[in-house]
Amino acid sequence: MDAVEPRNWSCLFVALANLLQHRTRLFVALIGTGVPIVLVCLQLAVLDAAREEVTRLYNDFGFDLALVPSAYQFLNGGATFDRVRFTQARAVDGVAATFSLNVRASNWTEDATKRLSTLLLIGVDDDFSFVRDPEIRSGLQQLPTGRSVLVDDYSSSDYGPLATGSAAAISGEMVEIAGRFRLGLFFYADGSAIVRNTDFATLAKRDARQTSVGLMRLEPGANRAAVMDSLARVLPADVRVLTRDAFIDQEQAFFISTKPIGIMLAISVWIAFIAGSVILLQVISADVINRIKEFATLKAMGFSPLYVFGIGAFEAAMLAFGAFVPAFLAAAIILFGIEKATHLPTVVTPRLAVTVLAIALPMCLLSAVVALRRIARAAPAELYR
Amino acid sequence: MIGGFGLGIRLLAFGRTRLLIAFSAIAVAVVIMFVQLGLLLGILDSQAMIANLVKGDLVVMSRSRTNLHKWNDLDRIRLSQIASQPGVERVIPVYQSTMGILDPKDRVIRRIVIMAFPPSDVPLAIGDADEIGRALQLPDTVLYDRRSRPIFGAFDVGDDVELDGALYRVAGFVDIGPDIVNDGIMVMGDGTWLAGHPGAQPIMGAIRLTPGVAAERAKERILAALPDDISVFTPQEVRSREISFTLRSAPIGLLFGIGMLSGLVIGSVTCYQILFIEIMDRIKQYAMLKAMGFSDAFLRRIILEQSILLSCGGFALGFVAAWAVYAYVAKATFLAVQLSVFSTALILALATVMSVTAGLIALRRVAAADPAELY
Repeated sequence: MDAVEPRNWSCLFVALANLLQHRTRLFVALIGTGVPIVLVCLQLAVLDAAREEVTRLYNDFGFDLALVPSAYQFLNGGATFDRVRFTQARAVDGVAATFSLNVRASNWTEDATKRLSTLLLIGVDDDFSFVRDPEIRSGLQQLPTGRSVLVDDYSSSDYGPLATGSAAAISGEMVEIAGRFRLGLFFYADGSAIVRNTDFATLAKRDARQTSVGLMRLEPGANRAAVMDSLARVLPADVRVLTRDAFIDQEQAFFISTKPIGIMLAISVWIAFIAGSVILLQVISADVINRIKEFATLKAMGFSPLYVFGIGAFEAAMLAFGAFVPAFLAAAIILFGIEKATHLPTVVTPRLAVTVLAIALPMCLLSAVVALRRIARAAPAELYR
Repeated sequence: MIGGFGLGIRLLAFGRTRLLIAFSAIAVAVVIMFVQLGLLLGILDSQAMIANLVKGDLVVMSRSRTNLHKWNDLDRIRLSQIASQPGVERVIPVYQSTMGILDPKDRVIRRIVIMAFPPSDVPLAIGDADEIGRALQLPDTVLYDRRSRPIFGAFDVGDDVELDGALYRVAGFVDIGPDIVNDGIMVMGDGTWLAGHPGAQPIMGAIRLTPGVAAERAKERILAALPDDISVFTPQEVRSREISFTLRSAPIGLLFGIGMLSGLVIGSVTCYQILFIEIMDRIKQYAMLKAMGFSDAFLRRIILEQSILLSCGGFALGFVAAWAVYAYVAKATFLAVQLSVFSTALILALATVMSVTAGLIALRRVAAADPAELY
């Protein structure tokens, strides 16, 4: 058949005219397309934020390699190793410095009201060059020794007003608040506090020789893979050495795959994906099927199937983009509200926009093509039933 | 009029693929409502679990214990004071704390919740009270919650388990279940607990009233007679207080609260949208029927039939899918995520009402218009 080839891209204008013909219908279709986009945006951003949240503490420190007990699962897992491993690690060529980071679940009693809350107690070594977060670093530099703590500004309100100089008890031992930092590890406890490692053993009631996580910095120019090899040879099997990225990845993966909140957030994202896709499919294909006779007429007039598909695809793409902008704005507003209310870093990133568009656009195009398949196959007359 | 019934079904069955797409779109709307609601209810239920398990007419706790996951102590003398009030038969102390449990295999010490109470009078519905009582009467015995997350190692009856460096013997199992923070529970007799922690104070007392005494009256009397460092609730009040606390506490209550709301809104909007499209697509057929002289009531009936059919079919499909998702989440999180009558009824009602409303709104166009205009 001799296909009429009208001017290139004129199908774009046909598509636009089709969309604009019925305003109410366009509006309903835009809402139908936008709602699943909002949904996917929200769920993705929340999961991303939770992922970032669980490694926020590690992100506040600068290190190249992490040394963890072989039974290490996650930040608050309770596994420890003997500090002597640090001495052994420092003997390896290329290791510049080591740092002991301790974590233990404990409890916090506010002095005035005697309110009891759960606490994640964090102990750090005195080598502040490992501390990347400026607030924690300056807080630690001014932290007097002996029963002084820095406390998380994002802790639950039951922690009290957290005024500098006020008193509190950590598992029954009196401490004084010497400063504040901002972390927010609410998935594990109501709040957190940082102390020097010299105080940590007393407050956490744990053997001072034990440590939760070791951080290591390499000499400038050292070959990381080679250092890891020699560390693996020198250190016994009760510890593992991980690169910074692998360490952070495994922490996030553990939260998502094992912790109930992580599992629930991950399943919400999957459901949103599936629901969003099916709803898009339904909305777009209904929009295209509505005009199936018009498309059939075009085909009968001799327009090539590609041209007809082009109209459908452009309609779908324009709907996707048209719905994406307001939907993304709406999602951004809701996410901003969530961030304000929870201190979870639910920020809108370009990556989020690209991911959501990368899901929505192909889904819309696919729906249009599926709906138009009938035209390519059938004789035009058959479509007028 | 005659022969009208079944027309809606035949209209729907006309395009098989379309029907399938519409069914599955409603089904995913239903699934999203079920999952978001189920996750939130699962979290709320797990957090308020102890309130569901308490066997007592009233519960006494420290006033500073604003939620069940704050373990403020209660002065033990208060329990005796309450026990001496008229109308009160017994007050049973419940102790709760955490201990480090040693996993014999990888030598890691993990935190486990300890609950202790008098073996002679088990205040929690966590298994057969007689069996639990017999097992806990022996000193240094513990019962392991078999629904704990499997991170502590495996325990069998007769095994020794090391808690905070001391050895205890596992004498059996109870059924409690973890919550979103705590992974597992060991239960012991109050004698065993106090032997290891002399001077320990309870965190809760289960109050049994003399039969025939009204809980509300007894509660007022107790509160009036005792110092104001305690709160007294019925188990139902503890439960609703805990649920409202969890909902308000950032970020988990908020996150899943928003999730639930958006799930319900999106699910409803989708049901509406699909039905609207479905009816609008056939608007010419309806106009034709109207032009042929069929009454508006007849058309309304057909559309009602279609709406209910679509929403019920989609609901059934979605219900099965939601059941599978629930089973997966419950298995993965060890939380009590289950299909409840409440959520089933709510979601079925939402799906049907939204579909029917959409159908009827679409129909208004048919009824209002001159048939010829619709072509």
